[in-house]
Amino acid sequence: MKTDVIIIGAELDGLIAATRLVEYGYTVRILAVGAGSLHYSSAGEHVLGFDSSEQMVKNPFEAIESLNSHHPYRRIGTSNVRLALEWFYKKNDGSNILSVSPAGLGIPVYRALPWQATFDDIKNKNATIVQFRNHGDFTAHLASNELNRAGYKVSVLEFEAPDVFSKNAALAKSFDRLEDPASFFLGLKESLSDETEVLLFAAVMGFKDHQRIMNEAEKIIGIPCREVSTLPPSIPGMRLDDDLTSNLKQQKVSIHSGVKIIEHRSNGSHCIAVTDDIGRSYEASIFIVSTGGVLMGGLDIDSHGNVHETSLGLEVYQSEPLSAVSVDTSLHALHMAGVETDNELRPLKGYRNVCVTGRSLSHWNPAQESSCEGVCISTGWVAAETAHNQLMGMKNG
Amino acid sequence: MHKSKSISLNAPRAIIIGGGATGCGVARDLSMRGFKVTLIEFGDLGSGTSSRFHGMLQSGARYAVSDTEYAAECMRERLNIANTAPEVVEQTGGLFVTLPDDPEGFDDRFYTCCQEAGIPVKELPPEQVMGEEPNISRKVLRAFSVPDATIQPWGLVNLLADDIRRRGGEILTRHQVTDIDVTAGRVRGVTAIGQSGERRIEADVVINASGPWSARVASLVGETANIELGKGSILVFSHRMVSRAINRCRPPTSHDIIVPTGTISLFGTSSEVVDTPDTTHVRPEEIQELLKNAEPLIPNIRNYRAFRAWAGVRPLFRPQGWDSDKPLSRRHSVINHGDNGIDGFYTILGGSLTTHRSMAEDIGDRICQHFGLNESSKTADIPLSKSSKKSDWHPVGNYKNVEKTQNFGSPICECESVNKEDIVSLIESHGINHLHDFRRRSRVGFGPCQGTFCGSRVASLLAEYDSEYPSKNDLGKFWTERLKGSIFTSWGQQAKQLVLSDSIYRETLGIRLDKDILPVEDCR
Repeated sequence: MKTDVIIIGAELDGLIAATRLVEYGYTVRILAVGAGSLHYSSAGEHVLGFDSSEQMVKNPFEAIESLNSHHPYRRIGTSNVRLALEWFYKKNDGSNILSVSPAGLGIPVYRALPWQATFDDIKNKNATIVQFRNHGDFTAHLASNELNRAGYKVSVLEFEAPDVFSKNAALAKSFDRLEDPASFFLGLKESLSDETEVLLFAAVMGFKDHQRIMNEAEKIIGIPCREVSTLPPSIPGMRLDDDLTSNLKQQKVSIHSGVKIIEHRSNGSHCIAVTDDIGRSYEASIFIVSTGGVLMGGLDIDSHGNVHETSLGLEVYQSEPLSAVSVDTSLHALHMAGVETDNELRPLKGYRNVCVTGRSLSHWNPAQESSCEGVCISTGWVAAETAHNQLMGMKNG
Repeated sequence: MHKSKSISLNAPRAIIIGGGATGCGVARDLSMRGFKVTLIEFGDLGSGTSSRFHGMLQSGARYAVSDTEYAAECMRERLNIANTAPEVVEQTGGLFVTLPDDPEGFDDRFYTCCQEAGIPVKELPPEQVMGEEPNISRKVLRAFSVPDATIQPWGLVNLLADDIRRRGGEILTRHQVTDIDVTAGRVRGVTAIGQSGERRIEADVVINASGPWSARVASLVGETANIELGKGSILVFSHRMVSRAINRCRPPTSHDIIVPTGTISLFGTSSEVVDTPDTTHVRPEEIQELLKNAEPLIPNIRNYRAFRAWAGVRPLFRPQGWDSDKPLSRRHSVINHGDNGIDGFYTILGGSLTTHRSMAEDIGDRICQHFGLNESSKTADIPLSKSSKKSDWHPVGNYKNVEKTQNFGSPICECESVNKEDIVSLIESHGINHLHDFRRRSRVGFGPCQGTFCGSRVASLLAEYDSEYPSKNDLGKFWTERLKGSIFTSWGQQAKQLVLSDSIYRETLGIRLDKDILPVEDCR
């Protein structure tokens, strides 16, 4: 059955495009190999944390002009970035705040997630970080060491988790299942020193029942409770992924997982259909490539150092040489490779009814800029606008 | 001279410059002969050429045709190391295979020369070898098994160092020798600078065992050392794709050997002459050359995951008047600078990790003769191992241990199966306080993820024990150093890994690259 739009990949940008497109009333199908990179990300709301000279950015919108002229933000324009982020975050004041990393360092975020620990939360307060025993993916001692040396007052409390699990996802689910959270948090409160004014947990405090668990914690313990991100898999990222996909499913968007696109059909200027690795074919008017770049296999690098786009065989920009001038330039080149597009995110060379979003785009470096969610959300949003305009055009003539 | 275990007050004092296998071997040999030894190493023990090779303990077969006598020395020493330090040796065995491109008739000479050198060589049917080694070429014409093995270089160097300390010797790491004091034609001592400042150490004999840096050290007293610096690059793969060390059966050149070690395989070695011993940068063209030349032996090699490349610089001895087309011998050489009026100063060159002990014995004999001492070397007979339990090193030892203790609870490094308890015991018993030292002692960060997940976990344990631990700097250094080796292999799965690692260190943890050690030129 033909849909208006097919989104290849279930990255944040693809989910955003789908969310926007169903707002317009289009039929959307998502074809993905598996879950997207939200499961790896620290899932703060990173819009633009560092400029190209690695200086920390206070106002992301003002710093966009300093980025290279092919950067996705520059391509879609600051006004579209503002519109997209206002639509998603319901915030437009343009300022970053500093969240607390599991290494005790500051990460600039555009907006704190609900209960995400920021430096404002611990300033001039006695903070305690809870380290659940055997929880190897959280490094409370590392965080407290760095924070204490930076002049904050932070101590670590080792505590038994509600279950014996030592992995993020299992721990988060054990909080969801906790029959009597009140007595758990009461036990925790008794182990705390009286001086503690703010309590930091690893970001594993419940998965679906996160809000309820944190409300309960604050109610019982009687002080602000916050979460600090962990090593992957990222529970806050999974929560966001789950929110977006549940909403899409309710809107009758079909999300196919385990589908790898290996072929496509075209009429020369337009892509008509894609085929998966067991021969199923899917038709649509518009295709959005949200395949997650090198990290998620949307871009593949062969042993000769050539980069390939894996879903539709689109032409890829790569700087020469890709490897080994120095560590930072080579690492930078890995990120900068991707599909080059026009301002509406259509590939410069290739089909007119295709948009490319997120990590599959060229000329940006999420790790250096700390800009992952911002670029994914705004390019997903712009791709949906481009698709909308094209679909309107087709309808009208 | 007294024959007691403790060092006599008037014992001759020896300074050994260089903490690789050679330097440690010489220091151990001399301390067993009653010398009071001080070993000075510029970086960390075993951080130069000793750890920058393919990790083979040679049976000598590789050199059987070109230098039968040296091959015989390798065979004797290989057996000796396996007896005296079994816990750092894995008895993989080795194979020499003839492929269609290899020179005709070489294999027959190879077989005869191995027998002459005392290397137990056995011809195997090609079908059997191709059956046992499914990843190698299907075009094997002939195959020979020899008793090659692999060795854990840091394990060996640490055993030697522990033994030197037990015998009262002193080891100074991260100390650079800045001056060698020569007065009235005799060496009197050296000056070394370390983190705690400058130190002058007196000595009756100074041995320059600094491998590729030998010429630089000799030049401190205006002397030369005839070395040729041969850079060798190695490509590391995340699978143990062969079970034995496999050589092409042809005259030893470059790109002709694959060695299984631990859970990984190493393919090497490229070879080029370089100007400075610090050149350990692997160029992209070298990687392509390695891959291209590996394909005849391992046809599917490009589909395996390469995750690191490194280079070491071999200090090859170049005798005067050596024909420039003829490959240099792997034998060692001792220079007695007393012949040039600097009594008591020696340089030891060439050789290999396999023969480090016999090299040490040779120079020890000469030094004892010089001092008129009647002390013979004891290193061949006294085990290096502390424990009497003789068990070979095993690549899945860590994993077996996890199964035995059923301790699944606190993995620090999943790639190499290192637990929290292993790290804590290193902190408590060895006072280790940097991520690099942990890596060399425990293999943390050695695996395919190259420290992506374990770096911050180990740093957290360090921070728990030491509130002064500079976590941000140390993590930045560790991650940048790991990247320096793995960035060379950014294709396929490893490219994904690098992007993930970058995302974790920079986006999640907030660690930035260490600008001081960014260039690919190595800082050792």
